[in-house]
Amino acid sequence: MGRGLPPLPCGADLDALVAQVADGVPGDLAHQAGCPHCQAALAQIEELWSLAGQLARERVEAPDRIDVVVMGRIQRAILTGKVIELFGGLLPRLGWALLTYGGLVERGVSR
Amino acid sequence: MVALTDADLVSRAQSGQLDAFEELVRRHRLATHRVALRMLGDESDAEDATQDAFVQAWRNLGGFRADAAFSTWMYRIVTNRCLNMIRARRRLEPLPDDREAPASQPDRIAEARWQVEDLKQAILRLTPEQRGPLVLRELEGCSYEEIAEALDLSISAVKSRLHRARLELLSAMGSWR
Repeated sequence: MGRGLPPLPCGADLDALVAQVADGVPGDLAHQAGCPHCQAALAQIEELWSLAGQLARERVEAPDRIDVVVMGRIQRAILTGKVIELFGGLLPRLGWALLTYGGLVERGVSR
Repeated sequence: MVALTDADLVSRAQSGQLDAFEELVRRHRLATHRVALRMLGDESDAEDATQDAFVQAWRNLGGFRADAAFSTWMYRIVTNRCLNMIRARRRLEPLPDDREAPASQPDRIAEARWQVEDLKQAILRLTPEQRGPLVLRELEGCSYEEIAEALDLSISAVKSRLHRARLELLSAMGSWR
């Protein structure tokens, strides 16, 4: 699991206490009931998770304009795609025609 | 439109119905924006990431698997978008050390808010790889399976990253010495 925090003076694994609070993994309740180290650690972890709970419940507003902007971008992308589809085949031919015409004009001028 | 499930809306959107996709945006806008905000810590960046995520979702809608949840898919897209933005900017806001602690006991509410703000900053200091699992698990309440699917990780990798993130938070918040 990588680096962890050092064990408590009583030998309890702090990682296990975190899992107990965060994930509800069963802990050694018999030991913890009489251990001041575990009780203090659990209280601190619970305090932090309580803060995390507050943050999770904090009201977040998503601007209404997100819908409008997203749908606008999608509609423009669709339109752009249609335009490219419509003219995509035409443009190379037009470019080729212009080059050919330019070449003819140039040759005419040089004569 | 209200009675339709996400799967119905996805199916309609896949056949080109824009109004179906618009309804999906409305339904998932808040959760998507919330994840982006927690990942990036900035309202404006979060809005950009949310918009980009939905536009990308539209573009890739054809590849969306019907057996997956649209919400999990959106988590995946927005988290990836945020990770790209984080890598691009590579700047982390420092913890605001110059703030003064609330002076008096009646300021307990302010103190609680202050601690939550510290927690937000501590989350922003996590590595991007740790931040995603932590935000999805602790703030969005996703299961390990959902996080694994959203972040394209194995469940053991999710657990490992989450474990490190939690310990980092404990250290950063000074909850454990």
